[in-house]
Amino acid sequence: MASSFVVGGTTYPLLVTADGVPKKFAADISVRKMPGGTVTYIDIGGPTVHELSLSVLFLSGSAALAFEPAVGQVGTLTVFDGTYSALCRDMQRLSRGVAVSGPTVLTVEFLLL
Amino acid sequence: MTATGIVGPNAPGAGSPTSVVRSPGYLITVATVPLTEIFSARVSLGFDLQVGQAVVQVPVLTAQMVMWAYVTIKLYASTAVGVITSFEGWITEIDYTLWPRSVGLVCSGLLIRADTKHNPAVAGTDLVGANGATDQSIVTAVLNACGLVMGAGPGYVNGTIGGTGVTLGAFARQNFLWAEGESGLAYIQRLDEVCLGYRTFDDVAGQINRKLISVVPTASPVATFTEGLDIESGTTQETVTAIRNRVVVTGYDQGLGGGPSTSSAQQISNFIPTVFGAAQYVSQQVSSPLIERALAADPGPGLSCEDVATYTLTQTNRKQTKTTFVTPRDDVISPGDTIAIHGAAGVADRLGVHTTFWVQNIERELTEKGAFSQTLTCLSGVV
Repeated sequence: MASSFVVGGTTYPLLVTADGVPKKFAADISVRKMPGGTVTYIDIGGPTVHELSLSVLFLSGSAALAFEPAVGQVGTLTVFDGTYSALCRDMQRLSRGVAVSGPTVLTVEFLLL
Repeated sequence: MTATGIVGPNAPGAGSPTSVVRSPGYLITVATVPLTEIFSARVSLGFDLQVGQAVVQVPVLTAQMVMWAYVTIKLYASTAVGVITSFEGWITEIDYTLWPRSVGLVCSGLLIRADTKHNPAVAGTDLVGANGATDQSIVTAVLNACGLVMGAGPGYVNGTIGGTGVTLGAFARQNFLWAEGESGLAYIQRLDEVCLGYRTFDDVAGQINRKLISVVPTASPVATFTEGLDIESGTTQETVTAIRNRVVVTGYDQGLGGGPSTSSAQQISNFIPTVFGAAQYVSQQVSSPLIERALAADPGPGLSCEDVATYTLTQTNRKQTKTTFVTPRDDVISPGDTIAIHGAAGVADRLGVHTTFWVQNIERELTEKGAFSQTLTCLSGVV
């Protein structure tokens, strides 16, 4: 499934890296050590998590900058496992004034609504 | 300079560190439609609650999420295989939050039907007939009248509505009337108060249960929890202030001129100080017109004041210990089960207990971070 983020009539294609696997789910791991002992329970959350961080491949620096207007927008996120109403709330910044050439991978964070 | 080791609550314990890695999950349906997105879910069951409770936080309301939509909830720590349903009931409240946006589906267990069903029959309903009926028969009749039936559908399975087996109402038939306007649950509570420890409550597996509840745990715990292994947090309180070592029971007045039937029982308590060498007694009064006889040896069926006094004394004349703890384990535990809580080294340790308890309340939870845990409130008594 081709991933994308659609805001209004604008479609932002997303090349999600790592073969379509999310780099991480935010706040999804709970580590609890049992007091007085050596046992630790590690719970890896999944479907209860509504924050999604994606590692997105942009083929050029200008392609990454072209995605910036989507930050702060609510749209339709189509990604590896479904379609969500989502808010794009953060994107790893590119340094202004520094030329970025060639492909670059940035982290884009969505809040699934 | 001498180096000093820092030893504190986060210091590692003895032995090799062990990690238990799990992927908790859920199976939740609303009006038979499985939910694919939730933030968190929590289920509470206990005979102190009677009516089970659950809250499911979801991102947005969907079409099937309406009042009285039927909800089933299964929460698990690792796998859904072999894990029975944690809760069944209906949506009875919906809470909206602006930001972060979420909707709370507040659900009530099956017995909410008995709580909201008020007897519409003018002059009430006779539940015992001319020859009386057992308490389990009476409770079953009330549940049925509230739409909670045996078998498929909301209700109970055969054999889960237990009771004393004593025939009630042969003398005081009018006192067993389900009054007009009285809720089904209120009637059941009135009956349970005198039925020698039988309590009616929402249980796991989406069932209603009526079983014997005692402050005295059974000999065989269904699960053992051990400090350092599977107890994440907890507290224990021991108290002697609630001890009642004399019970006075007043029952039905048969109108023979002798006044209401009555009986009492008392027992020396090891936890109540003597005064000038004399044992002291702290009384508890129990009064119900559903208790039809004075002594167990009196002729005729029905509960006796003597039976109720003797039973109540076994429950109240004890030093009470209450432990509440959180465990990551997902064993299915019912209200009224006996469990064991052990210290780390085979003796009472941080929680001060190394014994068996009966479970009063269970809260099963899957948090927004995806962590699974259960909070158990447990009681025990020592003579």
